Amino acid sequence: MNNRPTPSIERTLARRTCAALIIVGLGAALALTVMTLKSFERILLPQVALKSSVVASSVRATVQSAIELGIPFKSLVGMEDFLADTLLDNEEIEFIQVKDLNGNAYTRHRDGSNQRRANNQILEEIPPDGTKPGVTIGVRASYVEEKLQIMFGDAAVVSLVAITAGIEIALFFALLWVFRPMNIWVAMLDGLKSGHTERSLAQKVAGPFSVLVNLTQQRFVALSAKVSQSKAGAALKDWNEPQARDVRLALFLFVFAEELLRSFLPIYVKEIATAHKVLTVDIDIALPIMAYMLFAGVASFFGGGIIQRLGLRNAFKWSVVISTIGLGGLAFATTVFEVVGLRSLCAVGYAVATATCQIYITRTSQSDTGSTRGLTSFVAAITAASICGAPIGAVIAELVGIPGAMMAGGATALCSWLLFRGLTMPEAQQHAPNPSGAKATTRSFSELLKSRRIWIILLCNIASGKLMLSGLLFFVTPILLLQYRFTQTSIGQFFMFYYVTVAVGNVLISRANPSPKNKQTLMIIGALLTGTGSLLMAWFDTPLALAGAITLMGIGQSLVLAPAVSVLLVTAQTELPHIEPAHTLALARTFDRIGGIIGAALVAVLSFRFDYQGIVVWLGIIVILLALGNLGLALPGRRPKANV
Amino acid sequence: MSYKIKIISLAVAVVFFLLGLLSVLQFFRFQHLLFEVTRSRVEVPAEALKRDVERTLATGLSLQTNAQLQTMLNQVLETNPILFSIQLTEGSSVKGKVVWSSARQPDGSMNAPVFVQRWPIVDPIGATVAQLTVVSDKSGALGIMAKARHEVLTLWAGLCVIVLVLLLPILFWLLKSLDIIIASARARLLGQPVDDKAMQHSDVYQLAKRIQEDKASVQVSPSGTSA
Amino acid sequence: MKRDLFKPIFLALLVSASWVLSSVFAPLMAAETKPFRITMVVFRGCEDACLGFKNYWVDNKIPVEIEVLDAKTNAQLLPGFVKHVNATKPDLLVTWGTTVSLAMLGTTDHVDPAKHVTEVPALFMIASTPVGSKLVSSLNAPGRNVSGTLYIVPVETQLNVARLYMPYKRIGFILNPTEDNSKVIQAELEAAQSKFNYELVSRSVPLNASGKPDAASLPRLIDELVKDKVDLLYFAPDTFLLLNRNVITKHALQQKLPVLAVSELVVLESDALFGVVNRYTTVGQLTAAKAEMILVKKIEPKNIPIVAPPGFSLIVNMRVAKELQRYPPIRVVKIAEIVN
Repeated sequence: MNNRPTPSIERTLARRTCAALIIVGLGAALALTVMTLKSFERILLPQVALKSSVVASSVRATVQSAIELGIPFKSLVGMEDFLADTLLDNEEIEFIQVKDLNGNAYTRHRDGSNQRRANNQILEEIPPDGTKPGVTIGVRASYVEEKLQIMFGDAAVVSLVAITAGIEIALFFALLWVFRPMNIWVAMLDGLKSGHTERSLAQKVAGPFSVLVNLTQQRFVALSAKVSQSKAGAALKDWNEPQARDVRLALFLFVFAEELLRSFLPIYVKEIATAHKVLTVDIDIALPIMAYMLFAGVASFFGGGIIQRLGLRNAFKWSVVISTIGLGGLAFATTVFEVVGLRSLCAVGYAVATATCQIYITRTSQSDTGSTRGLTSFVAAITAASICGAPIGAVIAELVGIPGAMMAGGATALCSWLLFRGLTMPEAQQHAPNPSGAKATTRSFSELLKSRRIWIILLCNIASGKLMLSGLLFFVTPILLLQYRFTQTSIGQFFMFYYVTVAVGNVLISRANPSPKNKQTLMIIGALLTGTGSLLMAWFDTPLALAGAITLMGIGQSLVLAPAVSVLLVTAQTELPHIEPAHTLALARTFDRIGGIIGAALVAVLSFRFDYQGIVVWLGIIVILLALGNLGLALPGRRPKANV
Repeated sequence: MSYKIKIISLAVAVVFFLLGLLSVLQFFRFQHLLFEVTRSRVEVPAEALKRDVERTLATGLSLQTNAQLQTMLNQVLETNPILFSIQLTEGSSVKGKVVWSSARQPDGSMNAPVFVQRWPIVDPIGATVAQLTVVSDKSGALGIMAKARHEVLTLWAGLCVIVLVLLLPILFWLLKSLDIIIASARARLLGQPVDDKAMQHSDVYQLAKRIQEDKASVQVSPSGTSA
Repeated sequence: MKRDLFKPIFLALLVSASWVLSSVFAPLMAAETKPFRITMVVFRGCEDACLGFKNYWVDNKIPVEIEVLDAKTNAQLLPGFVKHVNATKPDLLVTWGTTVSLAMLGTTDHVDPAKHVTEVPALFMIASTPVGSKLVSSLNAPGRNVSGTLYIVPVETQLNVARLYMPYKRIGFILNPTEDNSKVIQAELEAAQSKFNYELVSRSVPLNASGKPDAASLPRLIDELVKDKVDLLYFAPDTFLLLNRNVITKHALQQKLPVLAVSELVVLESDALFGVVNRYTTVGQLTAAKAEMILVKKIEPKNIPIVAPPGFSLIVNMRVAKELQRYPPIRVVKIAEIVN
């Protein structure tokens, strides 16, 4: 007998709608890719043939010069080698033949055979003319197709980006049209059941369920007329209670605005530094990254107090203002100092805005489960923004230039405010102690840092991961890919190797829900993996090796990120039970930022001795050595300190 | 009905966005390859010319006084119609004094779009003594890009229409059940008769049904709380 | 009172500062406009290397006064040049060739201030084996106030390029036992045998009654090498051989033996088939670049490593190629300088 509950009509409807969109959408994407491939191939092939005719002329000119020196055609020496060189320099050419009027010929095929595969070759021919030799070149018909086949990879990446962005947009409208009306209606129904009807509906409800809400609201109007005398003048609570997911799209847009710059910022700074060097070019590139990490860390530290003072709405507003100025201002920066200053502004805005959203989510949750769900939503929004940001930023940069993309970032940050300002702010938990006071936090930090195990977790897992991320992905990757002659668009897509791997890994880890002991093992394995991929670059100086390094770093980090925080909290709880978990998390964030600063600084220092390939390898070695520090966790830890 | 149109419009807009983004990316991919092929057409004669110029330097002939260079430049320009001009400028900077040059007036205006490519001329002791600057015609490539853009736009528009034609009926049909859910829940709230069995798997309908069943037990006290 | 003192103190300071600045900068300014004095001692006139050296200063617009002392192949004039240079003390001395350089500068283990120039920084050029002839102790660190340029392309490069032209299994070599250059080159060729998979077949020039190499024996030596079935004759950068280059290359051509030259004269003016050379003009330019480092940038010669020009020229004598029916391969035609 089948005990599985039948899914509701609503759930079935949602699944079918998503399925229809995905099937039609991806099908259309595939069709577009195949058809554009064919179309472009048709357009490009004559251009390739034109190039080959230039090659033919060049070969002819060289042979002609030898003949003019008095070397008879039949006595030309080393023709096979010469034609082989030509084939090597021009990958689209399949075979080449040089002949004279007497029928003497020198021929070379790419595969070394004597047979010409006529069907898949386009011939470019210059006939012999007097003493001038004739040249025939066979161009491989599938050459353009082979070059354009990378479009399928592009299609996969773009589809993922569009689906991710589409999910965020769909979630927003689902919130507006489905979840919020349903929540209001359920709250109203609960109110009807319990008799607690002293609430109001501040904003008009949209969507298909608005008819139900309006109908129920009419009932309340009738009911509240009976109690209006006793409740006249009293302020009524809104039916619409703030939910964690309300803030999701605003957060997504804000982080997305910041992530837009990820794929080209080091390249932009490099151009400025090359024109107006402060120290060395590599140090100048590291400075904005380090400043960003530093100011984000400092702002995170004091952010709680700032948000308490300003309130959620104002805190987000001002962080948007600061970030908009920072992002948009970068478009006009001409010196490294200006970039450092503006990135510092961006960091402060980012830290305060994300902290605001986190506090919003924490205040909306009424239970641990709610809190977990809310924070999952928080992480999901940031992950989605990270996945989408770099590739889309790269496309915008290619379309309108890097300064234009930066201004687009500023405008996007501004849009996030438009979404945030209309939200209902959750109330502060009146009696909850404020764990965010700077003095209390500092005291907790100094106590936590006396623990060896906590040091190991912070340094060997959390800081090391950010070190690798900041050094490899944020600093070296765009510049190295530029050296490999990647386009800006392709550089943006490269970032997805990391973010997609981390996102998938996070989901799998959260589903697996490992035990505390397994979490520690995962953390150590993840820390080792984070650095291991980079060793590929010791043997292979290729984009593929770099992709491997980034992917393995992503896998490693997905094994580290959540488990490390969990292990840290458990360790702190065991050894220092009186320390607030919020302080432990704040320390983790601080080490995370420190790792980011060190990562960028390390690259700058290593650049004195090594090229970028070598730097990647050394970053990996350093992270692996740090990961080995986890062996210290095998030693017994501190006993819990008695709280006197 | 209006909500249905909104939902369908949103869904279709997301798919259009996906196709639009993809089209833009494919177009850039194409542009990159086209420019690469066009530039390499220029590289073949330019690198041969660079080799010849460096060879004359190795014989001890000065760049400034070797008149043979003018002939070489003219010859390359003649045999490569895509080239507009070739220049040899003194020194390692691109703004050096022009020593030798050969040019052909492009058809049309002076402001024809061009590719500018440069190669350093290195003397036998390894110093960069000149820059070889080759200016070639970009209008052909731009014309091809315009053609490609038109094809991509046509494909995109065509696929958008197909997506619309496919999605509209599917989504209308799917959203029909939403109509039924809402109508049933509404009817329940208004106390009208509804086929409970047909709606037994609808969460929304079940909510409305439950509240209707609980409705009679709720009394409102003067303070506004339940009795 | 204080205000009264301020003006005179300020004026005094201004005057002192002006005096200090002018006394520091004036000599520098004067020095910058005064041309550098260079004395060049050559063995057989101002040929291509000398011209390349001179043209460098013109092309780079650096004012110099170059005095050329020509020995006209008479080594006995060289002591007089030493005295002249010691008396006039130019800013730089440039010497052409091993003979001139050793006569003017001495060796690393035997320098006599009375017989050699020791107080003027010096550069040599067109010296085949400066370390072997003890002009300097090492190429990287000359060890004294002397630096210079190499003009011979490294042996391995020569052999690689030669292989581009033609395959070889046996290379013939004529050794001049009286010249160190020759012995050093022979040793290098012997050392390269296994790497390049060939056999070096050497013949030593016999000495005549006065202990000098016998030029009359050269055709016989070539015949012996031909009998030994060598594929190629290596023409070493040896003064004796260079003086007899026409005899050697002509006879080799008659015997259908291709000659690989490592100095340009043997290809350009004689009958060598091809040469892997640094053009003398280039060597002169490189020497001038090093002179600029000494005179303008004030770097001491002992801190300037001795190097050859980074590239080389492959010169093919087409007339000889036709006669030998040994045409250059197309790859070589692309990169070589074809003469005759």
